[in-house]
Amino acid sequence: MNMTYNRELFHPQEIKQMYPVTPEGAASKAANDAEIRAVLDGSSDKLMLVIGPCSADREDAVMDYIARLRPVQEKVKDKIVIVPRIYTNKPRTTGAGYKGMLHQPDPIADPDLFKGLVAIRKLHLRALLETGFSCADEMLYPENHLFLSDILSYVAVGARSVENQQHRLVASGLDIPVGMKNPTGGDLSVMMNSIRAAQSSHSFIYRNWDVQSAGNLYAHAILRGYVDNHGTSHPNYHYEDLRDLADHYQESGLKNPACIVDCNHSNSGKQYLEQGRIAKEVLHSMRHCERVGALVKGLMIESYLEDGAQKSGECVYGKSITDPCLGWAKTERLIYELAELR
Amino acid sequence: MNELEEARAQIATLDKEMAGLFVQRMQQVGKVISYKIAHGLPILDAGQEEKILARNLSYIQEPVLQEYYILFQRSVMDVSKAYQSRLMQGMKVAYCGIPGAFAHNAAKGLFPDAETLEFPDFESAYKACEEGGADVALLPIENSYAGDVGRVMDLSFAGSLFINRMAEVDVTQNLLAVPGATLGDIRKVVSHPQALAQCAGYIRDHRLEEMEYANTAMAAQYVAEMADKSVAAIASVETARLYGLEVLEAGINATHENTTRFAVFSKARNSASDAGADDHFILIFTVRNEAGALAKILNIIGAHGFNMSSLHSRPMTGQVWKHYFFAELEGDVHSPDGQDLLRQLSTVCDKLKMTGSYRSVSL
Repeated sequence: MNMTYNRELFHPQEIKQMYPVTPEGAASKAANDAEIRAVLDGSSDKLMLVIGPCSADREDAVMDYIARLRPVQEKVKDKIVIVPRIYTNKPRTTGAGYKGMLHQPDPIADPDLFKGLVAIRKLHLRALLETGFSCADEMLYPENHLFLSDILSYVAVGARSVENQQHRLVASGLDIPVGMKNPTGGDLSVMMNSIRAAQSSHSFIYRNWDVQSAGNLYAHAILRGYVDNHGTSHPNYHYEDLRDLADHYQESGLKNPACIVDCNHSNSGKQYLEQGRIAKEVLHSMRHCERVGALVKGLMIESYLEDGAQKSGECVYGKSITDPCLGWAKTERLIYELAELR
Repeated sequence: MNELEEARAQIATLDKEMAGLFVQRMQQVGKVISYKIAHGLPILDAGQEEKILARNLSYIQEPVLQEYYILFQRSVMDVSKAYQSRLMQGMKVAYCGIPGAFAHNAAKGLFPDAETLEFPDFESAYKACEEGGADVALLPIENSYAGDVGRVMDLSFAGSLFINRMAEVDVTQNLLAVPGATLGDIRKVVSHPQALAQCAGYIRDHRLEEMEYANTAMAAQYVAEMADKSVAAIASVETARLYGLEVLEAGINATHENTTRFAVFSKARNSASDAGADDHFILIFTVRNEAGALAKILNIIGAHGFNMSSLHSRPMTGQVWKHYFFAELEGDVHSPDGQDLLRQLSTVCDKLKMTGSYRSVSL
């Protein structure tokens, strides 16, 4: 192998023992899990908001952000279920650049995966214990899910991973909802196949074990827009797109038909300020048609303390070092507006 | 604020006032003891105590509270007596050896005003501190030439004391004999095994017979009492003065950078109030009986970037083929990284003890 073996890492069981979830934390997660499942299976008509920074670059600012979500959640609790995003690993288009807290617990220092693994658990754990939120992360490396499996309430499989066999298999073995994004090319059948794979039982190898998954009936769709052959972004959150997805679901016979609309990425063409307009437009489509209203369960919004984005060396507190995000003032206003419209 | 919170807030305010009054009271106690020392009065004055108690009780009206107030007042008096006793007797430093031993010199250097208590072996000095007979025990933990002082490590492993201070003492060994003796007379040398080891080259070159003694000062005392010109002791210059011996040859230890490190053991662990001041710490641990267990621990220490300045493996007394490890690390254990390290190691080690945190000083 053409690689250097730097350091052996902890086993998931060890790191869970070192940084354990308290009984109170476990109770919070169980309550959050139940609420999220109720949204996805239609027994609750609340709107789910998966909201937070594009990447969790530093613990202090992320904790500050999530703590601010708590009182907002209390005010809108009859209408909205907030699932904060703590995205600790980031896929990069060319593989270069900041790969998330897992790789770089200090974003301006060299990668340190040993410390990164501890840092991401500590951050997710702090969020759970201090704010009661069990959060969402991207499942970029399926092998690593076990390090956080007792803390997370939601994971997404990204547009670049959704066709990957191991992601689909591991998704089928998770006990929390998994959102499958449409691939960057926009082919919905790829995403539907992924959801089908995730909802089925499989035998496969996971962390050096022969395992059998139970199938995850809460695997569902996330529409994130797409990029055509010429590199141009196109949205897929419009009324017609949502109808189209409802048709796909109807033919498929999949359980718990559900869709989360990602308001950023190719849906906004990374024009992050458009996220509010897109969110409201989706809510309008939901009111307009019962099928769409029943299918769309929530929204994904990239938001942080400061508007926009910066280069990672600039070190502005609470400003994204990856994709641009909506700042806190606009975020808070948007959540209240969405609660009004719901 | 609800009633509970309000009451707690009130208690917090009262505690603050009481803390201020406590400090003022103790300052006055300090003045009383100065007076008592100056006038040769004893600390305990039972009649006085009962008078104070009766007078103060009259300030309390509620009968139920009076009961508790007596308890309170008695413990105030106990605290005050403990403080007085400390002021009067000064600090007590336990060490192993007799006056003139390197440990004694080190004790005098570290605690010039304290009373030094001599003990015949490391164990009894350590015990004296554990049991409260001494404030601290000063024991050698390593010698740069002859290696570690394993017995003291064993005591740290089994005992309850902490190391809050570590001092390096330069050791120069000298050949001491009774007045009138010459180098040519000497056939036999007497000293502590460590000192003999430090001077092994000299002893070999001069074809001397070795005889071990509990410590260097005792060896000097023995030589003085024997009054035999063919017997010399290996010890410090101070020892020669103390026991009326002459220095036949100075600096006979093989390396002239011969340093003994003394650990200051005490019951209280240094808290992190001045975090960042400590730059070394000691971990004592045992590993699980499985392949790669020690490697895993070293891997974690390495991942945090703490340099391990030494790692000793010592057999556990009474357990065949079982060992514990004594590691000294460079860095601040009170830092977030240090705290993470401890948390992670405590999961992976069978047993883990943070035995000391200190800043190394030279005497």
